[in-house]
Amino acid sequence: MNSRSDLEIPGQVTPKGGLSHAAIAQAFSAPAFILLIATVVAPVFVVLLISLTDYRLGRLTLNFIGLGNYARMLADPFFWGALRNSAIYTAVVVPVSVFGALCLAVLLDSRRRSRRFYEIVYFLPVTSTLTAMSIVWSYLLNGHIGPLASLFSTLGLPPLDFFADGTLALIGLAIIGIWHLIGFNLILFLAGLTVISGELKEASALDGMDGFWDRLRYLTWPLLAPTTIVVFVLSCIQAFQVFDTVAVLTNGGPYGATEMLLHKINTDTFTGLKAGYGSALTVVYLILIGAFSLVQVAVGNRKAHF
Amino acid sequence: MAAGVGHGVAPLAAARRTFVGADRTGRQRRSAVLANKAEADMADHSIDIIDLEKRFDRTQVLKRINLHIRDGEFLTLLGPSGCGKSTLLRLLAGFEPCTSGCILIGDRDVSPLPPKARNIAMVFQSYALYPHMSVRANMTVPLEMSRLSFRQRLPGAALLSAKVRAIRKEITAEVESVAKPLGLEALLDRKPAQLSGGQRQRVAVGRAMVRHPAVFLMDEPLSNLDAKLRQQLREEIVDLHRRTGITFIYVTHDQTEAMAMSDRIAVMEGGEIRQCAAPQEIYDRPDYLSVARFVGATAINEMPALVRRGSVSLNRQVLEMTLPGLADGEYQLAVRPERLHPAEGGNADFSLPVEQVEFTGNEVGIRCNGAEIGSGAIRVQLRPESFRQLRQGRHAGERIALRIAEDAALIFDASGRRVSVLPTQPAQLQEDRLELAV
Repeated sequence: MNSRSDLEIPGQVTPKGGLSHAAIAQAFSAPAFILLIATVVAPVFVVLLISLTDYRLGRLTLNFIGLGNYARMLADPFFWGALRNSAIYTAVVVPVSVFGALCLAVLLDSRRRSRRFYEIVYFLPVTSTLTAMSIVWSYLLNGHIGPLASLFSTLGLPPLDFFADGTLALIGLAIIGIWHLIGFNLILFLAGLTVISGELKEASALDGMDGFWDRLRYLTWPLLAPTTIVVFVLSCIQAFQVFDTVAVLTNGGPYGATEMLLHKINTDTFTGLKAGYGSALTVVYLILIGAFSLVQVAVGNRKAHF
Repeated sequence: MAAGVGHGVAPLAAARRTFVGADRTGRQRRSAVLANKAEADMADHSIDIIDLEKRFDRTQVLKRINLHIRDGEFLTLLGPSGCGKSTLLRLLAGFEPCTSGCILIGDRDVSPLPPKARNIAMVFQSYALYPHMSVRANMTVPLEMSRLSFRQRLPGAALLSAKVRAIRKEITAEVESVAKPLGLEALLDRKPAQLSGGQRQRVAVGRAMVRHPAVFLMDEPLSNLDAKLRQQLREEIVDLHRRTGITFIYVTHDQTEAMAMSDRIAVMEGGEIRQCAAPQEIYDRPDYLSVARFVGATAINEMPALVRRGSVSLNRQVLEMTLPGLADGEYQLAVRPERLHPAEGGNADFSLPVEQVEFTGNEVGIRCNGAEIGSGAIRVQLRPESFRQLRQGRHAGERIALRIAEDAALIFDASGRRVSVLPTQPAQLQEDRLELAV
């Protein structure tokens, strides 16, 4: 086969008997294609189907109930609570981690020697296991034994127990989320900043854009627009996917104050065994994530060209 | 040696200010220059570079640069890559701090000032246009930054304040008045990506012009263009210089460009200014062999020469000219290709076998084998009509008798410095003798 295809002009179909190049290419890509179908496309369809049934994990029978799960979901206050918490969490985590990373990237870009050091420091949280780090954070933010607690008591302020209070718990999770996300965003922005040439920076300095805010407004951020869109969408998806910290630290509590969409899906499906209802929640979750991606594609294509 | 010339300070500058000795410290010299400038015109935009040095870690990129650039002059920094010419330009613009020394523009020491406060504009090699802004915005931004405060530039400020509106209107009018002579009017709403190379270059010039700078810096602005466009824009830049009367400092490694455009050329090599003079002077009387080699479209002819009691010989062939003031020893004799003339009768200096004849339309290049006089290829350039005369009765592949034109021989010592030129001029000889005596 090898010796034959070496002799052929690429792209030409062999006259008789042998396989065409297109067929060979398809054969080589088949494993990846089949794997993609089996692990991504098929499960999505299975979830869609299950969401239309009353299937419970462990049972051998199921009944087709149409949109019953969706109707139940719309009437479920805990679903709306989880959706609202996810939205609040995203609304806090995304702007702070995106804009914070942007500012950090601009500051780091002008460093020469210390840049490497700071890159590592900010990227470390990304590489760490969030489940393990959650435990460290629960100690740090603990209202009685942590360093934050001793700081507050030294200053004579009342103790602040993050994971015991309904509003604070969500903010506590958001702080961890930001800490975990900012390093990743920072690296993306630093990569984006390499587009801005030294001459462009010098030209802007000559034209009077040499202050931090001026340069950010007139030069850096507009040129980072494509990167910003990608970072923004990825951060939204990441924030909507928050699970580890909820599962380890709050378990959705206190009183559902930190119940997030993905955690609710997990609880309903695997603890409550209501697979049909969980699948309906998953479909909503997939639609939301898909919407974020569509926004990126739509806005990214329009804005990315200068 | 005349100290001023050696440091690249124009001899003409001495007429306007007292001579600045090399032995005085930088600070003294700076105040001396400042005192002289105070007497001069207030709107003087001449530039004085005094004892400027630049070091990156341990490598010294610029070594004690001294240069005076007259108000309204077109000065070119010429040199091979890595000679420090771009670094010097970046120091002038303020992108890099200098290690020591200072830069005066008019009567201001600009070395501690940031780039925007130096009243300098620059055209970059890559043009460095803001890719996300239209041509209009590219040209408006420098004016907005200098005339509007941070608060006045906030979105919506124009709606609230009549003053901001007035300033913006003024800026728009100015941008248009600059765009018109550059032929950019029709392009104002395009983005840089939609422009051709030549148009981008013009926008870069326009952006630099709107601020009415005192000094205009250009860093190889034509190197990204094709040959024909380069020729055209070269003329446009010269026109622009004549029209505006602004001091231009132009960096290039292209000697043709430098020769064609400049009032004066500062030839740089190894972080030093080797020679700073008018193009004709650089071409005819280079101070260093390296300068002679760098300048000129066709390579200069170099021949090892032996001087004994004033008589010059090339590989034992004694030349007609005599250099009575020159100490005995070995020198390099250099002659421009067009200053080697075909000799009639017996007044030839040497005759060489012809290797190749090349027609380029307006001239004829002849390459001879210089082995007989101990050198490499010897190139001769002739007008086509004199070549025709020469050819009557002869054929290529034969020998050609050559004579070095009067005053054309350049003599360089072992270190590559010119020791004697124009041997027939008695005054020059006198100076050379003095120089040698020192």
